[in-house]
Formats: sequence, C-alpha cells, structure tokens
Amino acid sequence: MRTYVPEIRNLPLPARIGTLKQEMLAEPRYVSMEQAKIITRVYRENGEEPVNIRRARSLAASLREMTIRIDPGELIVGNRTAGIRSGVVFPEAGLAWVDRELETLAVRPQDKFLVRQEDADYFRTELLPYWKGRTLEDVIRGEIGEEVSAMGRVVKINQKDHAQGHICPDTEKWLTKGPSGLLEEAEEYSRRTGDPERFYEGVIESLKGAVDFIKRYADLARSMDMQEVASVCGALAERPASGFHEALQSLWFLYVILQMESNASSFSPGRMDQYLYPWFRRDMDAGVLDLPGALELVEALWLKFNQIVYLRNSESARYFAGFPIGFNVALGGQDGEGADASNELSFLFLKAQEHIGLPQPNLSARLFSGSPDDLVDECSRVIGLGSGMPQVFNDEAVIPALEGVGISSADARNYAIVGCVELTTHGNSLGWSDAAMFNMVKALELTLNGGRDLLDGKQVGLNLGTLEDYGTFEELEKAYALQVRHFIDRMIPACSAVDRIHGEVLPSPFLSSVIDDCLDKGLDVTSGGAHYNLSGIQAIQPANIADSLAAIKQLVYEEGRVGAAELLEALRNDFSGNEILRQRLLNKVPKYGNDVEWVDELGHAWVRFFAEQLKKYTNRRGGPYHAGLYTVSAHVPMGQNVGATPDGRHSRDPLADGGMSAVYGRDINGPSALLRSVSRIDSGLGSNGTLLNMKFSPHLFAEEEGIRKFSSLLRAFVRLKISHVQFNVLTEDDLKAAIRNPEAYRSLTVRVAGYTAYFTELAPDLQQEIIARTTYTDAL
Amino acid sequence: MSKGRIFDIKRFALHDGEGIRTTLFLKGCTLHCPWCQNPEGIDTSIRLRWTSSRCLRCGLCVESCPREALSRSGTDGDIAIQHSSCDLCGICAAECPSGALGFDGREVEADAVAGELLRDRDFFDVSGGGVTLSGGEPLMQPEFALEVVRILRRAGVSVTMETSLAVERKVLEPFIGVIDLFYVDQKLADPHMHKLLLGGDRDLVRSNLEYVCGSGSKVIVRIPLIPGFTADRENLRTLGRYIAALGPPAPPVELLNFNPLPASKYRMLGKKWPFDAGAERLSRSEIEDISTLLNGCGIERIIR
Repeated sequence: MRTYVPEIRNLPLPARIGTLKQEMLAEPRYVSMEQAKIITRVYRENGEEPVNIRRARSLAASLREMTIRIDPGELIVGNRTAGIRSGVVFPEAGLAWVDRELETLAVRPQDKFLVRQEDADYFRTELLPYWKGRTLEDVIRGEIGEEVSAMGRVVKINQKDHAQGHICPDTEKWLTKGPSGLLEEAEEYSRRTGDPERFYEGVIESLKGAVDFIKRYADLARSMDMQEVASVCGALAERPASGFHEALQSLWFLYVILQMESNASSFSPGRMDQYLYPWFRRDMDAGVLDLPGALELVEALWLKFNQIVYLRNSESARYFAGFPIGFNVALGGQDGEGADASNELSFLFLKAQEHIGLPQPNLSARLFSGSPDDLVDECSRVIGLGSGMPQVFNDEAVIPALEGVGISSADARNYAIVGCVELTTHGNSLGWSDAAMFNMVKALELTLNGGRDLLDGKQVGLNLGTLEDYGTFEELEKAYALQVRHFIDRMIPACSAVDRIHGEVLPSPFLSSVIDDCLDKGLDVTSGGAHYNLSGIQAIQPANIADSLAAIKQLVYEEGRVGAAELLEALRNDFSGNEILRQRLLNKVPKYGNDVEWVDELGHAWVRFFAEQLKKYTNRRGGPYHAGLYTVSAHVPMGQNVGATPDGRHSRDPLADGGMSAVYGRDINGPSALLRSVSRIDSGLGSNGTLLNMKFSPHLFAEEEGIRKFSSLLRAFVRLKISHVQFNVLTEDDLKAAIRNPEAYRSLTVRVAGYTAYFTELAPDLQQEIIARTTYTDAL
Repeated sequence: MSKGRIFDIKRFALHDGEGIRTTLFLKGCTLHCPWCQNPEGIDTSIRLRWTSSRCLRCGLCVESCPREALSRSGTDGDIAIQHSSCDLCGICAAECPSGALGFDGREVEADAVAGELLRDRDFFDVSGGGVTLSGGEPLMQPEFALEVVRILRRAGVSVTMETSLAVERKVLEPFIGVIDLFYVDQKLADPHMHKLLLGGDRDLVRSNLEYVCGSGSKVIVRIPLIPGFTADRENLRTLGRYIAALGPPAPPVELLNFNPLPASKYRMLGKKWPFDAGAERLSRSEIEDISTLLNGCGIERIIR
C-alpha cells in the first residue's frame, strides 16, 4: 500500500465544507429567467447577424451582466445564476414543456422549483411569443415532427429540445492556456484565414466575455475582502493557472461558462486525477500544499458540481430524480504506456465522494489488470458506503471497443466518461451519445403480431405475419431482422436532421474553443469541427430479447409445449386468464443472467445484428454510428410502451434495468453467474457505453475480508472484459419490496456459511425478522 | 464414472472458506443435529418437494400424477405429497408451471458436476478461492466426492470440505492430502448427549479429528452456537480444552452464530423445528464472552 493511502483515508471532513454543504442544501430552488431575458434582448438587437454571432454575443452579455454571488467561506467560486441550484430556462432550446408545466413546477412530486410571479408573467408575455418557431424544439418539430412521432413507439429520437452536451472538453488546454491564451490563438487563426465564415469572430467574442466574467469574480471577492479568492480569480483573468487552487478554480469557471452557453445535460471533466496532477505535484513539492489542504479544495469543487442543476420536465424528473447534470469524473486507469496511472488525487477524489455523498460529480473508477490493490480496495470500501459510486469501468473492455470505432490507441487509452456511462475521448470528440433509443423489445412485439401494436391494435410496423405464421424459429428471426431494419432505415434520417438542426440553431463558439480540431478546421463543433464525430444509438434491452426469444424457441418450436396461437392470444390479453402460461414462461425456460450459454447467445446475437446494421451509416458530421447498451432509468417509460412479452413480463411493466442487467430477480445463480452471462455480450458492440447494475448487502463491506472479496469480484469483472458495472447497496426498503413482489427479487440469496436459501422463499415471519433486526441482515 | 446425489450448488459463496467459492451440497448425513440448517440434506434419498410460496394452487400436479401421490390438503389448496406412493417419475414437476414442485436433490455424474463447479474459475483465480464440498456430510458419498475432488485438483482448483468427520477412518483416509482445508464441527462434548442428540459417536469424531490434525492438513474447527444445545458455558469450556489439546498449535476455531432461518425449511418438510419462534442469535457481547472463555482454554485464533 502506498504510504499516502492510509493518510488520505483518515482525513476528516473539513469544517468549512460541512457548513457550506448544509447552507447549499438549505437554499430554496427557484426557476431563473435572468439569462433568458439577456439572450432574448441580444437576439432582438442582432436580428441580422448569423446565428453563431448571436449566440456568442448573448453568451458574452450574460457573462458580463448576470448577477454573481460569492458566499463567505467559499474557496472555489462561481455559478451560472446567483441562486444556488436554480432551474435555468433556456429559450433557444425549447420552451414548450415549460409552458405546459410552469404552474406545477413548485408542487410536482420530484425536484420542485419555485417560480416567482414576475418571472411567470415575463415568460408568458415576452419570452414565449418571441421564441415561438425559433427554438430548436420548434424547428425540429416543424421539419420532422411527423416522422418522429410515426416511429416513436420503437425509436425515441433524442436531443430534440436541449443542447446535446455529453462532451468532455479539453480542460487541460484550458488550464495551460487560460481564456487569454485561447483568445490569442483564435485571433491568430482569424488573422491568418481572414475568417470568411465569421467563425473565429464568435469564438473571440465568447472568450472575451469569459475573461470579463472571471474579472467580475475577482472584483466581487476583493469587495468582500476575500483576498485569496480575489487573487486567484484576478490571476486567472490574465494568465493560465499556476497553482493547484488556481487550477481547480479555472476548471470550475470553464464548466460554468460551458453551461451558460449550452445548458446541456453533461459536460464532463474526465480524468482530473491525470491532467491536474502536475499542478498538485508542483505545489506539494514546493511545500505550499498538503493533503488536508488539497482535500479541502477538491471538496469545495465537489460542492460546486452540485450547484448547477438541470431543469427537467416532470416526466424526465421522475426518471432522473435529483436533477443530475452529469459532471462525470474518471479516476485511475492506465497511462499512455499501459502502466497504472492512479495517484494521490485518485484517492482524494474517493475520499471526497465519501465525505460529500451528493449526486455530483458522477464518479467513475477505471480499472484494469494492472490496477494496484490499494486502489481497488479503496474503491470497494467507498462503494460499500452505498452512494452507488464510484461506478466501475474496465479499461480492458473499453479501450478495444473505442479502437473498434476508429479511435486512435492513444486517445482510447485516455478515455473518459460523459453523462452517466457514455464513453468518450478527451477534448476532441462530439460523441452525440444519445442520438436515439431503439426499443428492440417493441420491434419484437410488432414482429409477433403482424406489425400491430399490442397496446392499441394500431398498424405501426411491417406486417410480415404473426407468430402463428412463422413455421420455424429461423423464420421468426428473419422477420424480426426485417422489422428492426425497417425502423433503423427510418431512424437514421431523423437523427441526421436533428444533428443538422443543432448546427443551424445552436452553434457553440465557446465550446468550439476547447474541442480539437474546431479552431484548426474553422468549424463549429456542432457542424463537425471535432476530431471525432460519432453518434450513439441505444439497443434496448438485451435481457428481455434473450428471455423472450428463448421462451419461444424452447416452448413453442422445440418442445411444442405451448402453441403459437395460445401464446399470441395470451400476449394480446396480457396473460389475463392464463397465469399458468405466464408462470411456464417465467419458470420453465432458463433466463439471461444465469450463465446459460444458449440464452445469453440470443441476447448477444441480436445486439450484434443491431450494431452491424448501424455500421452501414455515416452521420451528418462524417462519423460512424455505433451502439450503446444502457437506458439508465428509461427502462421504465420504455416498458410502459411495450405490451406483454414472451418472457412472462406483463404489459407496461418495466424492461430490464440498466442495459446489460438481467430482468429483475431472474439472475438466480448469483453474481458470478450474472457476470459470466453479461460477458457473453461482446463489450466491443457497446462502444457508446454499457450499463450493468448489481446489488449487494451492506454487510458484505462491514469487515476487511468482505471488502477484499468484493475487490476480487472487481478483478473478475476486469478479467471477463465487461465494460461497466455499478453497485447499489441493499436497503431495508429493498427487502420490504421483495416481500411485496417476490417475482422481482428471486435472486436475493441468504448468505450464511454452509447454508443455502433464497430470501423470497423464507416464511413471512422470518422475512420480517430479517428486516426488523439489522444484526440478521449479515445473513444476506 | 461415479454418480452422486447433491441438493444444491451455491456460487459466489463467501463464507465457506478462502476467497470466492462455489459450494457443492452433497446429500445424506451420518448425523441428524436438531438445528441442522439444511434438513433437506440429511436424507440420502431424493424426494419430491413442494414450495408453498411459489405454488399457484392450480392443481395441475394433482391431475398429472399417475400414482395419485398428490392431493390437495385443507381449504387453501396446499399440496400434500404421499411419499410412499411417489416413484419420482417427475411428471408433476414438469407439469408444475411455477416450479413449486421439484426434487430436493438430483443425481449427477462426477465429471458433469465438476464442470459446473469449474464455471467460476475466473473468480477462484482472482480471489484465491475454489470449491467447497458441504452437505449433508460429503463423506457419506466418498467415491463420488473423491472423484469430484480429483477432477477439480487436476484443473488446479483448491478444494475445501465442511465435514462432521462422523465416518469410518478408512473413508476419510483418501481425502488427506487432496483437501486443502477441512472445516470440522465440534458440537457437544458429552459423549452421551452426542450420541443421543446428534446420532453419532463422539469418540469416532474425535479420533478422526486428531488424525486429520496429525496429518498436517489445514483444519479450522467450527462450533455452532445453538441456544439450549451447544451454547452452554460448560459444554464450550470442555470443547475448548479438547481443541486446545489438539495443538500446539491448536487449530483456529470459528464460531458460527445460531441461524433461525431454517425454520422455513422445516415447515416445508413437515418437520418440527425445535426452537421457539423468538429464538435469537447470540448477541455480540455473548459471542465476545464465549471468545474470552475459549481463549482461556488455550485457543488463540478465534474467527467470528
């Protein structure tokens, strides 16, 4: 164990951080329209200018005019609104849902925001009328609204009402050059090229605004007699960051400004422990920084990551509760030569996660076979605390997957994560990772039912016959392939149109200054200026596909135990009056997640089919489409749109969670069997990102030995070349839910030496005892 | 190739030895401890089993049985099994849609089951884990067990065994040198009570334990702490002194807290669970006291 590891582990929560956290969480959240007013005014004043100039000027004006605030005791300062955690209304992207929900924002069940009366009045009388027909949302609806809704039951086209985000900018470049250095660079390009498209002009205007924004914080801090903050901000307005404190503050300004420009779900700092290390090391070596001081600064930044939230509509807020905005930080992993890259900062970030325990940053640990035990064990320990973080990524799966879509080895080795689990390179990619979600389960439903929706009987897909018409399993598979291709053919032009309209409506000059090769090409990032230009489509959901096809294959075609007509009838009636058939489907056919090769292979085969279809297309920015295998929370709404399925799932029930996970409770052979099943779906097929959820009892982490065994599980995960896993720790509520709904919790095993039993098969009084008395739960 | 009877395979077992393990539960036991956690493992024979919580009460099984061994009992549609009429044909289990009816064990070939046990090799390799033979009493099926162990060892996998050692010496001998760790139970010190309650000869167990310890095999002695049976200070003191005398060094002792959960299985099997509904696991401080007591007997390494 490296000597600093125990030292960092024992660092206490700095008092200042505890206080700031409490104050932050106590502040009421308001909807903010301050920036919307500025943007609207600048758009009106610049009606004749090209859109990139209007965007640059409205950002610059916002940077100069928005009310700013510093709280006493803050070490890292800055926000995009004066209010902490304000819900920013961003007119350029879309206002329709705000119009519908403005009155209910303060009373909705999840993620409430208060609305000031004058803001509500302004919204209805000024904002909405001006922007009608001009927003991204309106333009997209006008151009492709009908196509999008026609395919909507199978394909959900995303990014229709907000900026794309999911970008890892070149933070290192921002730190080493500073806004003033970038400004010089842009001016140089402008002089050299003459700037015929006025691209550099937009970049320059936005960067000038950035410099002024930072100066305003220096002035405010000085007026509040906060000398250290004033001197840090003052320096950053003039030159690149020199010390560790300056580097963290500089980083935070970058992300605040990016959000002011785009209001996008997720800009991610990526591998902060790598690119910040030179600043950290220099200060440590110079004796001006120690580990407690470094932790305090890191935690001050960690709080800041929670101060920018994303105003979502009520539907989205239900599924992405806690208004996450996806500041994804990656730690560990390997360096350019394949050696372990972890350092003091990796451990400080884990400690900060333990201390702060808030939803942001979304902390991701990169592991590989060369990761040292101290790092793996520390990840295990922090995971055991139950915040679900760090989530774990596997270099040995991710790097080859990225190389497979044309990423250079050097860039692939330096990968980061954006948003939840989407994979990216650093500072040179527009990954467009959430172009669309493709509901493979719905496509199967249509294939079984002559292209008709089971929910309302509407003809929405190709009519290739019904399950009764397919004489063999192979015929069914052929029809399914045609159905999937039919929808892919419709999806791609829609994705392409959305991509193009973003370039037309939401060019992002400031962002373009920190994405390679935009300056070099003289091209905005939304128009293909980035070095890598990918588009990711999610295939949903392999577990339901594997289980459904396995049930049909075995019971209908192989054993003949269930007739095609009977099954189809049962699906149309949501198994009403035929629970016996549903139980057969559930219990008489093996399920994905149990290390049963032939079932897992069905999942793999269809993921591969989907991923290979995508390879035939090129996106509007000239890059490839590729597949992702994650839904995050969308398995719930996606499931609400799917009728009963042959895996025994009821109509409108959620699909399997995550992406790679088994259907709830069906992985009854334990975590090792689940991981082996997951490993059969080639991680190279999910180069856009994959998601696997697992649950463990908190008591596993109570003793050092349990933590070590959990670390071994992580090592096995690495060896099995699975891309991603995220761990939840079981709660009392989970156990109560298991009693109410045993079908979804059949995998819950009671773990005692030499004893074998499942929780859901225990008598009710014994289940209650386990719940009632925490000493018992070490049995689980 | 020998066949054996097993009643479960538990993967990702974390409490049955070093690292991450897969535990194989062999059917049949030479003892019949009243607190047995796996009562379905005591009998060597395989029987039909009905799991109430999974049953739909559809009655398809009753209709399907050619020997009329199944009937509905009571008003809630519970299924009663007439074991004397059942010839284990399996028709009802195949017919049962929910999996409520099934066998309490299965017969397997040694190489097939070893193949199943080897599935988690990656997990064994990274954790220093392996396979644990448990039961029942794994030494009740010595030929089968030995063949499984040999296949596993040839594959480079370490094998641990959980045993009461209540078997003839010649049954035990071939396992010395091929089992990497023995977990051996010590339950009751009094030979009379041992015979009466557990159904085995205490001195046979003791002599085997001394033999295993003397062979240089790695041994951990396990004491199940059962209220009203073993968790009695006098019993524990006597056991402690005996175990200490197996040294030096005395084998480590692992204390297994009482597990009240098997009550469910007893109900299902129609057997009586000899504890009150409120019977509790021992508290942390009680276990602390017992550790102190055993330390006082000369046992240094105590695993809790």
